[in-house]
Amino acid sequence: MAPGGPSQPERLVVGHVTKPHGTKGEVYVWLLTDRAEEVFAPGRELLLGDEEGDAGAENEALRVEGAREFKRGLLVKFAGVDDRSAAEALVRRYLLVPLAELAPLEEGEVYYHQLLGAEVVTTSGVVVGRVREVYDTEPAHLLEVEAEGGKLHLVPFTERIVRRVAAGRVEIEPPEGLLEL
Amino acid sequence: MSRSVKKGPFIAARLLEKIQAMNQRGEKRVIKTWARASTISPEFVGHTLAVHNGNKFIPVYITENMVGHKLGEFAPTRLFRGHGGKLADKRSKAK
Repeated sequence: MAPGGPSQPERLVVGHVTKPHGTKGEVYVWLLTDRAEEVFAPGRELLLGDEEGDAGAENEALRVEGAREFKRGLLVKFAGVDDRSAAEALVRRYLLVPLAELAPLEEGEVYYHQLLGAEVVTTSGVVVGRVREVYDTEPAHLLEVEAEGGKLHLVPFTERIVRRVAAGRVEIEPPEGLLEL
Repeated sequence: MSRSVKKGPFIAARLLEKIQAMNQRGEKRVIKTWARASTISPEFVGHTLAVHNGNKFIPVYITENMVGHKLGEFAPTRLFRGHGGKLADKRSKAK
């Protein structure tokens, strides 16, 4: 399966600063990466984005001093952020990493953003709709596909059903009844 | 308290019958079920079951390593939109 998408973004979002934690400058980060240990390793520099998830023109960078697991996210201490007031200034902002610095995709892997908006067609050429959402479920991710009339279909992202992902197009071979649910 | 070993696992009988019939015919059709408490039996492998989550049917493709678990474990009652619509470093791989 080849990753699709005509253009690659320069940076990807890896976390969202949700709230300050304690009085020593730690912040709670909601993870938006599958490789948290690598991305939030001490010494790593992250770009501070705005509240929309775009990197600012200033390319403001923050160096990770330490990170520890907390609930479903991480508590991160950045260098130079030493008290709660400084931590509060980061709240609601996104953290980004240049795509080139991230581990490359493994064979068969695709980023969520390559799936979102992709046209879903069956192997026989019938257009099902467009991917509206990707749900992080076990054992397989679920694609939420919106058909033209607004009807939503859920498609398990498994090799037996999703046959090919390429250039904004997802080819599926749905078992009988899947698209009638 | 766990279920008595003497009884064996609970497998929804009607569902098992339908799957055994499909296996005999070599058919693969999505079956709707509300039996979230049913244990996944080896006969289910390779089929896609639409398991109700209280709101809608969640299609679950059954693989070998799901045998022995309950169907409900794979049909979450809340689907979480995790990536926030951003260019997240979240990856997906068809297994």
